Amino acid sequence: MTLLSLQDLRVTIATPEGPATLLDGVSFDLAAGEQLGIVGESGCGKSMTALAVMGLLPAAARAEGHVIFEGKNLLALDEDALCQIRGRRIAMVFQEPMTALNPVKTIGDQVAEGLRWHMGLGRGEAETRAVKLLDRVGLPQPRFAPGLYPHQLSGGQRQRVVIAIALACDPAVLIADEPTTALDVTSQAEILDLLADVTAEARMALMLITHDLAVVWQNTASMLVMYAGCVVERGTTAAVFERMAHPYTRGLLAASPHALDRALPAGRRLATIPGRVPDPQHRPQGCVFAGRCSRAAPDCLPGPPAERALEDGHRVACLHPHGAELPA
Amino acid sequence: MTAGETGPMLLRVEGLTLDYPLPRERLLAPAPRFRALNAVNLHLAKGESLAVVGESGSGKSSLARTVLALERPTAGRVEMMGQDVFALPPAGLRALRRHAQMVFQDPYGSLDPRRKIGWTIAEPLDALESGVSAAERKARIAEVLDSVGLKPRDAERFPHEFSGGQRQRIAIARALITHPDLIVADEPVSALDVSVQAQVLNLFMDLRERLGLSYLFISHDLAVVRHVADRVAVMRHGEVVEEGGVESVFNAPRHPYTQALLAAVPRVGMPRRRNAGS
Repeated sequence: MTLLSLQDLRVTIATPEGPATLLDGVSFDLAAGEQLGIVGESGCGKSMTALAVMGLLPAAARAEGHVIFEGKNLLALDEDALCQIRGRRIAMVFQEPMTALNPVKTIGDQVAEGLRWHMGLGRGEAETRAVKLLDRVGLPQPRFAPGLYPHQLSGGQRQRVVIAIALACDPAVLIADEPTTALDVTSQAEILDLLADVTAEARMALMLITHDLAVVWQNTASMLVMYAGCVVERGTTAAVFERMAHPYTRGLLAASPHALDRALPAGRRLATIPGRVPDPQHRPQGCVFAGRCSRAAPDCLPGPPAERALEDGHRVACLHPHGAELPA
Repeated sequence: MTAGETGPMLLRVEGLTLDYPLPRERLLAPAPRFRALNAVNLHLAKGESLAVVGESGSGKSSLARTVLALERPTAGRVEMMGQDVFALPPAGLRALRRHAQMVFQDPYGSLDPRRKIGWTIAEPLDALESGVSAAERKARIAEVLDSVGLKPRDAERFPHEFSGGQRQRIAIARALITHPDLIVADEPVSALDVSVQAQVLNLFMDLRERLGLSYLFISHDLAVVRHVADRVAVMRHGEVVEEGGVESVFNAPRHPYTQALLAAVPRVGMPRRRNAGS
């Protein structure tokens, strides 16, 4: 059952050089209990997609299209109505736990805040629940008393507090935007385990935003690859990794130092994608990736390629994808 | 791989211990201290590349800073090109600094936003070498910009005009301008996107081959250092727990901490390994 549905979401932002398109027709569905990975580099629109769902776009941004959640278009709701959903039905875990937490409030108060605000719990009741939530995310009493402040915790522990805040009101959708990028590898593995456990327990849908293909591979059932504000490839995680149809997806994997299982022979170099992600103001007319693509041909340039189906819901927005020949 | 043992020694670190004072807890008791480095021994031969790997708080950045004499150790020696850096008079240290330069993690924070990058790149030259003529200064700036794949006329531009990857190239150019033998790079690619990360790592490899540089490469990411280092030292709580050739540490890690570190790295094609502790 579809819980959250983005339909042709288009976000533009006013800049001194004129409007820039940050998201260009992003559509996808998220079902209850689904784990969806969104992967891409910075500037590809992953975080902007999350902010659009949360109703947290910058003031200068304009969103068109539909973000349907439980039958309502979130883009059409006013701030009061959004506040009933934000943190209550859709919650978010941010990248930097230090900036996501308030440094002058105790962790117990910060976890309890949503419970008091959304669930109308009293002070004592909210604190009891907050202690249970801290315990659930691996911050047991008495070592992690609710009276601690964020600066008394390590980065991984802070991220656990942020997760406890997100879980407090038992949301239907959890959006995790690069939840482990600021953490060490060992903390990263623990936080990803924790996210998998808590979402599976409550059949919570998880939107996991990351730049790391290996994180997507190990933690999600389906995935989107975004590039320059567009979804360029999507499907079940297994199908996308089996074929890697879009040249950008392949390039991303090849450029990752984690992809090689042995050291480079002397004199060899890592595979790279030449150039960089184009700025929103200077996106090319046709396929947004054509300028960096080794498979680009003249037919890539006139207009953006439409998404086409490969097999079993695996779709790619490319005229010359890798792998088996496409049906005409 | 083991060329280091035989070549002339560029850097030798012996029994390096560094304590940071912590805030005083009682009025009359001495302030507590935090031991960031505990009797670290390392050596680096000319032309060799050594990676120091560990989690945050393991002491790897303190090691980098102490090696470059930015921190004064509590005990131990750092010997660079045969000279004890903490026994040198200030002028001697300045002369030695030409031979060792640093590249920092954050290419947004390490460049002065109000200076043209030509000025920023030439800063080590202006500080450490005297008697450089204006024409030579300009030529040296152009030379290092070219080395890192930028254009000489980029010297007239400001940092905000460059992307993250280009800024890290600028930081590398600044490190190259004094023609150093050693570059200490503290997490030089961890702030960069995947596709740009590979470009910058390749640049490190190119420069080493072309200029015969030595690297002390600090990173939390074992996979990143695998391709740029000959040897790797794994640090934990201020101590080196394992050291060896990069491939042997990768394929047959001996210390349990190294094993845990390697197991935690997510890999495509491998199912997720649950952590025992969580």
